[in-house]
Amino acid sequence: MWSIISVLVENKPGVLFKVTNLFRSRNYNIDSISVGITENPEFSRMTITTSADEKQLNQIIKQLDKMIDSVEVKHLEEKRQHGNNEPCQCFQMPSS
Amino acid sequence: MSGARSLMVALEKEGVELVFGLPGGANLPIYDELYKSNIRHILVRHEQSAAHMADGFGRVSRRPGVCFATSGPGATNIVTGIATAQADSAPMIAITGQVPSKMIGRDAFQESDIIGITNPIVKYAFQPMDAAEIPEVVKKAFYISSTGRPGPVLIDIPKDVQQNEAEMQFPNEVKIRGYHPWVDPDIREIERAIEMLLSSERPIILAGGGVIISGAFAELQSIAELLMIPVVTTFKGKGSFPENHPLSLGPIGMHGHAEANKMMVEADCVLAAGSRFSDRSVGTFEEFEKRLKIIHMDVDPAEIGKNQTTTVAVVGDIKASLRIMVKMLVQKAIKRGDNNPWLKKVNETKEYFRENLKLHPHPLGAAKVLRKLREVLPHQSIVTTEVGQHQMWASLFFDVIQPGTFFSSTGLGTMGWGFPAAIGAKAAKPSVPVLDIAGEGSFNMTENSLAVSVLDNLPVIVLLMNNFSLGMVAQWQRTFYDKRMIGIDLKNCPDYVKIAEAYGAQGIRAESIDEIGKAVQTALKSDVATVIDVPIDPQEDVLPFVAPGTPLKDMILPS
Repeated sequence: MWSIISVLVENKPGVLFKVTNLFRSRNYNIDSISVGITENPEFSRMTITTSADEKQLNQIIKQLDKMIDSVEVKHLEEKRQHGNNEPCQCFQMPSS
Repeated sequence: MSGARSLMVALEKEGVELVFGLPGGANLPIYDELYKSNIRHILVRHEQSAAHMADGFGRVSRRPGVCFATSGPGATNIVTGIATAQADSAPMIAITGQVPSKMIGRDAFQESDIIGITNPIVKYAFQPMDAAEIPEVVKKAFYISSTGRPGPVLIDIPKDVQQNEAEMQFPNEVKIRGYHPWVDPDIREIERAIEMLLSSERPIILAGGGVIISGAFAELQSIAELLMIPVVTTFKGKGSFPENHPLSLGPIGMHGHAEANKMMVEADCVLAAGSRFSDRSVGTFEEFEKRLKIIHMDVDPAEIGKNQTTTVAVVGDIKASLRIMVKMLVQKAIKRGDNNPWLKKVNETKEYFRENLKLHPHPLGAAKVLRKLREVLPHQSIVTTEVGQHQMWASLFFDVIQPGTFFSSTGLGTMGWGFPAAIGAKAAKPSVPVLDIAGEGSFNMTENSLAVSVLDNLPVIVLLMNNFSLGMVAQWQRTFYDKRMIGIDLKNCPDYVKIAEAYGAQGIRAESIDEIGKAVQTALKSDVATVIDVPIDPQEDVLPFVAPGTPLKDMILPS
């Protein structure tokens, strides 16, 4: 199962490291990650796709939420894993 | 005002009266201000012990203990202490010096990226790059460390930031937008929990470390007594419920009490308060949740569902949650009698194992030693342990009567923790006796803290259960590796009576149960640290034993 998680974080050095290290230390894999500063320069938004079962995903979201530098965690979308030849449009961010 | 000066003022504002530490090049400006302040400094002989002392201080006083270390090796030496505090949710503030900000990233002398190194083992870490940030950083550090689920916070201050002058403002309160430690427990979930407990036939309470951290002893006891539910604990929760209480079954787990493991396996509903269902407590996760309806109370939402699937979850401070539960029970006049088949079975099982569990026949068998200790040691005394066989024997044979007086490195299992933590505990509560139940392998790791105990007038007692070997490893080699013994023989070296005397402490060798009693009494009257060296049998195993990765029901009993 593929999931997209969006995390609003404090825009300061080391936060990306903390997020990726959280995945590493709990043995979860990141399939893709993109980070960008938001309109409000105090925050950055990280968009992470990960393949995890429901229990793992639940734990990832809770651990991200527990991080003091994360301000908001959203589970955007999940898709069942398609065959290898499927195009990746299933990961597109919903228009907000 | 300089950054270092503002650090001292901020610490004093937080009520800090003493710090444990060791100076070096990169934290000398801090020490120079410490010299001018009213804060007492306790000089350790190794930074790891400073962290353990701050940890012991924090667990006993329930406010963060503070330790200082310099940059580089000073900072890396406290890593084990920080990880220990994190694993056991202990409040602690570690303040390290760092190379000057312009030198960071140049592989300077005694530079280490301590923020990066400690990232997975701290609750939070700060590295102020401007002196003016320090007052707010300290305020935030204490707030984060002591609220919600407590934990260690690191403040790493570059040397120039310590020296720089700035206009300082000391905030009275701080807000952190990504941190919400106060969660009100959901009343409806607590109602559901009560209904579930009342409708189950074989309920049990599993009390974890959260009960001790939040000081919810009275609430826990009220619930157990109102509903007549037997209480087991995790090892970290040992002593959250008086172990001489008729409803107490003691700790469950790998080296839990036989009656506790047996009843845990037979229960149909568990109220788990402040427990994270560690592998050492539950054996196998699958086996546990298959049989049981689980009511899980925890202050940390991420613990809910991490190791076990729960039926009812109450997120919030354990004391607050249990207090609401007691109120509801009293309002609804819910009270259960003791005349039911489950409680009868519990009592029979308890009696059976009390009478029939075979104890090691050696005259200095662990049970005899620790029961003698319980007999002579006042109930309000604080007891810490090292890590190893003696620790598990303490779990089995040393009853904690006054709640919240027993502390151990349960999560990380750090050898060398017990002695410096006992010194920290003594600093937090000088009025009560403090005793470390120790093994020599573990005590050996931080025994140089004897200098601190003697010179800083923090007398603690070390009861050294000396089996001249790394006993727990030896037990596993005997049990799982066909008696191929390697790397366990400590060969009666050093002589611990002489070691104690060399530091100016008191060393006593006690070779009978009677001598142990007398030695503890002598130590209780003494105003210096005492090491009581007890030569026990190297062949004694810790039993009962639940082998790793097996369910509690497969507990191995002494034959």
